[in-house]
Formats: sequence, C-alpha cells, structure tokens
Amino acid sequence: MHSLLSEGDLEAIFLTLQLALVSTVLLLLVSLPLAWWLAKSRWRFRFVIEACVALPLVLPPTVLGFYLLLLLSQQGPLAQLGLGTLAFSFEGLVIGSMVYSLPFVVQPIQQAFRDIPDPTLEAAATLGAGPIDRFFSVVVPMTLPGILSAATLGFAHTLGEFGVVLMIGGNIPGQTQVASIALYEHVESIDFIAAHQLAATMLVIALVLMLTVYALNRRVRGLGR
Amino acid sequence: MIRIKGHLQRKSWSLDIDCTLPVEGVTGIMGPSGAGKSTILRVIAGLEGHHSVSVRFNEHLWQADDAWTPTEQRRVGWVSQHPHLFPHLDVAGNLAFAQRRATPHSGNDIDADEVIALLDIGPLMDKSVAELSGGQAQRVSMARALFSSPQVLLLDEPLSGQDPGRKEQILPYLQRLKRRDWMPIVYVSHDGDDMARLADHLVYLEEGRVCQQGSVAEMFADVSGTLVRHHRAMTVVEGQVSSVNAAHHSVVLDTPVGALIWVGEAVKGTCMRVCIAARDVSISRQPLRDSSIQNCLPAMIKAITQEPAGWVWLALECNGATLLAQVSVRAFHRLELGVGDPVYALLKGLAVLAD
Repeated sequence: MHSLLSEGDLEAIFLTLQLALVSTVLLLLVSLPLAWWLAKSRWRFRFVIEACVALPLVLPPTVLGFYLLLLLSQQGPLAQLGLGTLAFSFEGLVIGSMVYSLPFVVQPIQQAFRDIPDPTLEAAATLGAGPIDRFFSVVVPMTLPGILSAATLGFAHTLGEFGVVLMIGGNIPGQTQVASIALYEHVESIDFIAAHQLAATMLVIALVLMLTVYALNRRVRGLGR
Repeated sequence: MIRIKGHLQRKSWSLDIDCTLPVEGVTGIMGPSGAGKSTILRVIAGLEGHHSVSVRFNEHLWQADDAWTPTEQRRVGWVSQHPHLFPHLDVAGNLAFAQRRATPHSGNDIDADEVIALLDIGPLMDKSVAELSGGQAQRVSMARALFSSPQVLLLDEPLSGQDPGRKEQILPYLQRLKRRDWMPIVYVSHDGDDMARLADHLVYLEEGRVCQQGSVAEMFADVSGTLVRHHRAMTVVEGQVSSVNAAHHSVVLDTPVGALIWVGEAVKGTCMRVCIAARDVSISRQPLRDSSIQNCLPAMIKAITQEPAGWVWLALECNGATLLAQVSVRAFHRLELGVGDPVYALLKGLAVLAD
C-alpha cells in the first residue's frame, strides 16, 4: 500500500481519519444528551429542534459550508467572541464535520432511546438509581449496539465530506486537505492512476465501516427485543 | 401509615384519591378496574410525577404542593404485572444492580441467600433474562425488589400475566414472602380469592376513594358491605395442621370454627389460611353420617340476614367462632330456621393456601 500511495495521499488519508475520529468522539458527547432529550421531552416545540438537527441531511454541503465560513471567519461572531479565526484550520474542520454529521449520529441514538420502555427505567428508579445513574447503568448499556452503530455511521459520513471542507478548510496539505479533496485534485490534474489508488483505498475503508454498522444492527435485531 | 390525598388529571381520565393504608403485614387493595388501584401504587412510588397529590409515609412527607422526594430516595420495592428486568444484564446482574444501590437500613435486613432460597432463584442465576419463563422472570423481579431492601413492597397484580398457570407459579412464593414478614406489603389485585388468601387488611376502592376497609376476615364476612356485593362472601380463618393421614392424602386442620379435614399434602404443625365460601356451607337439622361431605360441624344460628335476590345469609356460631352460610330462601323456609336454632354446618369445599 505504501508504495502505491504517495506521501501526500497518505497524509490526506491520515488527516481524514483523524478528523473523523475527533469529530465522532465530540459528536457523541453532544448527541447522547441531545438524543435523550429529543426522545423523552414532551415540549411541544421539540419538533423545531428535530428539524434543525435534520437540516444537514437535505442542505447542499456548500450552503452549510458557506454559513459556517461566515461563522468561523476573521470577522465572524466566533472571532468577535475572542475565539480567533477557525476557518482554514483543523479545528474549523472539526466544527464543520460535527454539524454536517450531526443527524447521522443523533437520529439512530434517539430511536434507540425511544425504544426503551418507561417501566424499565421506573423499575431502576425504585431500586434506588437516580437520573444520571439510570442513564449510564441502564440506558447506555441497553442501547450500546445502537450507539456504536450511530458512531460508526457518523465516522463514515465524515470520511466522505467534501463540500463543507472545501468551503471552510480549503486545500492546505497536512492541515485541511482531506482524502476527498486530494482525490478531486488528482482528477483535476488528470492523474488517474493516483486517483484510482486513493479512491480504492477510500472505498475499502467505507465498505469495512458499513459492514460494521450492519453487523451491529443485525446483532441488535438478533437480541429479539 | 400511608396517607394519600389529592387529584390527578390526565388527558383521558381524572381521579380523586383519598385513602389511608396501614403499613403492616399485607394490605390488599381491591376495586373495579378504573378505581385507581395501580395508580395509587404508582403515586406511592413517585412514578406519577404530580404535586397535586400529597403522600405521607409514616412521619415523612414524600410529596405535596411544595415537597417532592424522588422515587430513588423513597426506597419502595415495586413489582408490577410485567417483570421489567434489565435485558442487558443476566439474572445475577439484575439482582446485583439492586443490591449495590440498597442503603443499609435499620430493620429490614435482607439476607441475600435467604431471598434466593425463598424464591428458588439459585438455578436461574447465570441465565440471561430472555431465557426465563414468565413465572421465573416474575420471581426474579420480586427478588430484585427485595434486594434493594425496601421499607415497603408494592405488588401490582403480580399474579396476572399473559401465560396461563402464572398464578399457580407465583402464589406459593407470595405466601412464603408473607410468612417471612420482612417488610409491609401493599398488594393490588382484582381477584378476591387471592386477596382472601394473602391479605391481612383490605381496602376496597371505588373511583379513588375508600368505600370499605377492615381486616380480611371482617370484610369478607360483612354481608352488607361493598366487597360482598362484588365478590362472594367467605369465612377466613387461620388453621394449623394437627394430624396427617398419608393413606388418604388428607390432613386435619385445627381452626377456630372446629377441626376440618382437608385433602392435600402438608406437614404437621404448618399454619395455613382457610377460606370457606358462604355458598359452600349448607345447613342440616341432623348430622349427616352417610355423605361424601367430610366436614360437618355442630353450630347455632346467631343472626339471619335476608336479601332480595332469593338468598339468606346465616351467621353460625361454631365452636365459639363465626361461620357464614348462604342458603336459598326456599330452603330457609322449608327448614323453618330461626335465631338460636341448633343446626349442622356442612362444608362442601375449603380453599386452603399453604407454604
């Protein structure tokens, strides 16, 4: 493999995996409480939040990327708050990826949480488990296959990111040049051999991830709940 | 003493609750469906999150307009119709979940090994929850509740399940639990026969309100009471096995109304609760010798209550205790029965619940 891929391509793949991993971990931290709230809240305007979470599913990535660019730019609101310019940096890409992959992580977890019967949690409460205890000792372990499959989906989706990255990250090798953009460059410069090699590598990674998701899902169904 | 008072409002129903339950022995809650039996248990457990109902448990105010003790701090054991075991844990894991969170408490010291033995959980410990039958799962659910060493055990129709035979699988264990007397039990059921066998004190609810309460023996013998309007009248007494006839598979039970023969297996000295339905007691002027009826007790008519539907209630004095009989008006007139008459009570059947 090493001989097949150029150093630049390897760097791009490594950066992509790193981006996907960091985004997924942070995304889980955000998604677990958010999905729990969405699954259990009886607030009548909950649907507004649900729609916002789903928005990245339908929005063209370039639109998303454009607004994120405004948000993260030198004159953007985050910079005004003293957070500095995040556009064209790895941190900026992480924020972009999180927004972009949010629905892919939140929605399956929300569904898994919704399937937990209330009386099971009520039983846990009568046994002396408080809300936080119930979440970590009943909710999370009961839905673990669902959470893992959501995380894998978020990871895989971030690997395939293109439009958002292009808008907010540009194409700085080693910093913001991810695999999909490196591939685009190969095609632009009519280097089809390099393009083939990079594309095939990405295909294998994506396939392995999808096999993981569906194997996990099969295990969930196999439990026969 | 548990005191519950207030109003519950839901989309499709509302309920005014006003009742006081003793916390001693087994308190039964009976009533028609919609009377709020299960709801009251849920309110006690803090599972109906509303401040509109006030709940006082002994000297502790658990909930009121401005007070709220969350469920996890109330230390109530709650067992409902469905076991609701944790599917991600095996049987031992479910029990350990409760045990880890049990607060050491004066009084109810639960010995884990004894609970496991009492409910026959031992052989199930390594099984996954999915492998258990309905009755087994319910036993594990009861053990799990006991493992949290609750100060009161709330049982919500634990005998009604989907599978037939569930009742026979669980009832003996409930009886053992009652005999062991670890903690007070509040027991909800729609089945009067189960109640007569298990409860000490009985509360009859209609639309959230207590319409009648008292000891089980009083309630089932009160022919003008609400309970007997909805359920058959019975004499409920405690008995003890005084002798065993292995050849006939029968035992003699010493009870306040006299010595009774019961066909069944039991060890000498065992205490049993005996329920004698008034309908199963017939009256004769003469002792019956050539009859298949085993139990024939000399008695005296103490009181007569006529009811419009063609039946007459007779309160009989047997051996100093009261036995209730229900005879038809026709038989009553034919035998020309009157207060103070010596008669014989013929018992056609006994319902006995033993360990």
